[in-house]
Amino acid sequence: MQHRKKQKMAKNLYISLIFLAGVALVLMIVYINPNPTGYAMLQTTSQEAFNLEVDLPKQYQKVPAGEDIWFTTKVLNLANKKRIDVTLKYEIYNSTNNVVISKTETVAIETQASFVGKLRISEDIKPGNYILKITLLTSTKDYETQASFRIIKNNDTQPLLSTRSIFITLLIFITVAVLLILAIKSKLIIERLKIKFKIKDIIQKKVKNKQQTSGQDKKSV
Amino acid sequence: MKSRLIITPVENLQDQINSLVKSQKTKTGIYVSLNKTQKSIEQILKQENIATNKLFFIDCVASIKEKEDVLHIPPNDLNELIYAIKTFFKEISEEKYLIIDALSTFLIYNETNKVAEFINKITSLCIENNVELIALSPVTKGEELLNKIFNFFDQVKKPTKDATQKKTKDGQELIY
Repeated sequence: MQHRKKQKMAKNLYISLIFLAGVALVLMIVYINPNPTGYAMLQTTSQEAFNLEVDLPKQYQKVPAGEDIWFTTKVLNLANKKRIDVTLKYEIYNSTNNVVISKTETVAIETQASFVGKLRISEDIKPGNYILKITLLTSTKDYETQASFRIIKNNDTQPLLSTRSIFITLLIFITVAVLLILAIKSKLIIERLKIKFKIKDIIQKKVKNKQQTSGQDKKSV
Repeated sequence: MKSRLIITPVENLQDQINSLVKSQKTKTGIYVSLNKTQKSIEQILKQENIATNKLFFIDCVASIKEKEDVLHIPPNDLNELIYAIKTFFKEISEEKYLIIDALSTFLIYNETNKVAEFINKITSLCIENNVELIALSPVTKGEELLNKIFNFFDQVKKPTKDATQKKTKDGQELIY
């Protein structure tokens, strides 16, 4: 009986060992195999895989020429936990897909990083719609992200007042001046008219009195 | 028509006015008064039995209008005064004269040059309208105005030495 038990136990042990070996073999195959569906990709992306985003604040969605455009680049290192240096390329494209401004910089990232960047918009760049493109350059692949914005005329170079508003301001000023002069003149005219009518009235009364007294004199005679 | 400037001592001023108004009784007068109110002048003239029915007053003294038939013009408003005199000339068709009592009083309210300019305009106005102008001025120490306006008048009557030197009861001379 004991002998059979011992034999049974050994048999179970052998089966377990084989099972474990098989599992180990499968695992080894999964890691080493270069052409898996998803796994190989996993393997390559685990070496260099990034998520790239750009955040363009609202106040920089319209930038006057001659000023800076500020933005934040967010890089997420999906694969590598080690600290690595990557190259970021910043470019501004115009509506005809030509690069007007370009700048590169090398940055160090571990798992994730945010970088505040700026580019100077030169004064001679024409107003219009532009694209800010950020490229993360790696040995295997480039990652891109972009944001659109508008370049406007610089306020400093713009006249404070447009021709139309200058004209309107002048017109209002002239109207007020004319009205003032008319008011002063009309006051003078009214005063003079008062004097004229008063004098006429005085003379008429005197003439009347004269006539009355001469009439009375005649009667007395 | 002639324009006369009569410079007289202060105490003789009223007598001069009385004789002038009396002499002009056939004409209509425009009396510009800067020293006395119209009421006072009329009273004085009536006391001297001088008729005032042919006199039109421009009272530059009284601030309150006492009578409706009197024109009140402030002495500092020379333009308004010229306009009033002009209107009188226009409205009175008869032969008329203008009497101003007294020129030097204008200096209290106006600058010398402004007064001189006013007198120049008045003399021109009188010539244009064929009106006799009689302007009176007391003898004053400040002769700047008189020196400026002498030439505007056809005739300037200055006081004689006898008229200016009057002795007081004490025998002292009065200096003007």
